[in-house]
Amino acid sequence: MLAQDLLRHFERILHADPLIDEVGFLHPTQFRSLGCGQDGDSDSSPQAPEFQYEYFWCREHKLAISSEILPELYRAARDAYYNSRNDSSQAAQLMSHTKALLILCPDMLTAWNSRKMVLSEKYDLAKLMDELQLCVLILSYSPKNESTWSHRRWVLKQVAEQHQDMAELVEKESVLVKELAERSKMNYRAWRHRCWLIPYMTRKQVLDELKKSTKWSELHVADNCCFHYRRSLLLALLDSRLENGEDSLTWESETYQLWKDELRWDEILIRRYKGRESLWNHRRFLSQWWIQKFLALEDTCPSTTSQVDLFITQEIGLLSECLNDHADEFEESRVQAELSALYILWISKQVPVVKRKLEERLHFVSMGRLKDVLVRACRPEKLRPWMNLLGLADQSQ
Amino acid sequence: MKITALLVLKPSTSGAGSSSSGCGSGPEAVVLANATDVSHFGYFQRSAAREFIVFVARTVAQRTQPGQRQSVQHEEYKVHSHNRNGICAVAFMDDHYPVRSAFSLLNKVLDEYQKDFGDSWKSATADGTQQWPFLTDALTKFQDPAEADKLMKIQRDLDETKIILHKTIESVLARGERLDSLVEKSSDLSAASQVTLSLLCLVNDRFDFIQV
Repeated sequence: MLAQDLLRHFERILHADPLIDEVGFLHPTQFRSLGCGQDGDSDSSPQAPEFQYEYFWCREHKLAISSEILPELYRAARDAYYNSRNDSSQAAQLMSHTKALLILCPDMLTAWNSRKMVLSEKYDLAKLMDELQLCVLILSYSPKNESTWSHRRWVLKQVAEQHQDMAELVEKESVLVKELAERSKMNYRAWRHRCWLIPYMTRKQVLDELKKSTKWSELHVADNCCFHYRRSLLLALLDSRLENGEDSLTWESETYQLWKDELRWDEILIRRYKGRESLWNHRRFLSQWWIQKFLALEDTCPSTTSQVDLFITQEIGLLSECLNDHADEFEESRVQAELSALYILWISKQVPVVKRKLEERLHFVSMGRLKDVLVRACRPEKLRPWMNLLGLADQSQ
Repeated sequence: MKITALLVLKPSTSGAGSSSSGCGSGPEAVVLANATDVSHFGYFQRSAAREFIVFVARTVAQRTQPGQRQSVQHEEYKVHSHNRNGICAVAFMDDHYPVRSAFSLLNKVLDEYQKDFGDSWKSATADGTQQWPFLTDALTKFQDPAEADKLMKIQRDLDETKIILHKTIESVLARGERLDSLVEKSSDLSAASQVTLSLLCLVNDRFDFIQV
């Protein structure tokens, strides 16, 4: 009986303040230290004040639940949900119970699906927006919860079917992901969500997103997720179709310039933050497309070779700089040397046409062959797998 | 990359590192200035985080000898401390902030502190409660290590004392000292925070236990 009262009270709080944006499950000791009571929402307190102060705390749209009642509360929510699930006349009840249940246990896919069923019956933008708010609430304490992200995508899809203009919504999603990424590092799921939104963006928006995520990447060079997002944006630019009144030539040169800037920017970061794998991964991607897409574009033009040569000279220059950097106590230089050697190796494998040029250039600056570079830069225990994997060991024997 | 806190402390001189732990609290460092940003913590974890930062800063500063530079790894954080002639600057950063930039920042903080307050710190016996605007600004400005890099270029000729790296906070403690007994004794941590901290370590950002 008590458990059901708790649940009723919990649902009442959620109903009374639809703007709750953060929830915390607190140990009773910490809960007591919060000090009691709700200051604004007095409408719900007369009914069950004893729960109010003992187990729930809600202020400034932040909700705390004492962890000692969680098992009971969860069981009550689950039972209430099962009882109302098959009765279609109780849609409002069902929504209320699933909301309570999902806040306690966001991986309960059945409950998410029940919500989807109710929501699909009739398109209601306001209800769908409430749904987004519920997702925010859950993500506030469980930012990597895939079920929640997946539900969020479903909701956005419903909205996109009815609305042509997604610009504003996409913008809001971007802000949300950025905020969550601040709080939870390497949150692949959050960034994946942002990548998922790219098809809903206009070309202008894609460019804006690129610009806006620059600073974030600079401050989080260890987090590959944001670089992955940038790669997705850049690819979207390559794929995007011309809209009316756009000139393909200016567009191409714009993308060309963008790529060039990205390469230069990445190089600056590589010099600033030594030994960061994500930066070198980003470079692999950029270089591969750069050679294949942009430098090959000018196939007919006689200067093609010199363009590729120029690029290779530059990259070998970077390699030699990394290899010759003096060692330090933090191991950064050693890692940097290894990553740079692997980068060159990767390019030679991925874009076989430039392999010969690379070797020539290495020879020219008297760094020997690719194999020698590897021997010099890689840790002995890593060397064998690399050589084997890349088939270099065979050639050298 | 993220700087969570910058502090200036005065380690107590009566037997730094207190080898005679065991009973009673040993000498503790005095906090002269503190700038902390806990906005990236969950709302309900912020006060515990704030208390914890002061506690760790005191513990590490007290165990950093004059002239010494140390970096302590604590979970995904690095605590850097630099004691220059008895005054100690401590920074809380995430793992990825370049170590060298971190120490040039600490150097800068100590320079500025002595410029602004002279030697008044020598007589300090209680924690300072006033905000020091420079430190608050520095916390924002130097979130970007590129800014700290600029400092490094100016300070290039400065001392190159070797930085001692510790893999855990326990390895900073003197022989016979234990972290949990320090936690228990500390007046910086409320009972609630101690619980939150142990919970945080256990559950981190997942709350799987609810499904049980």
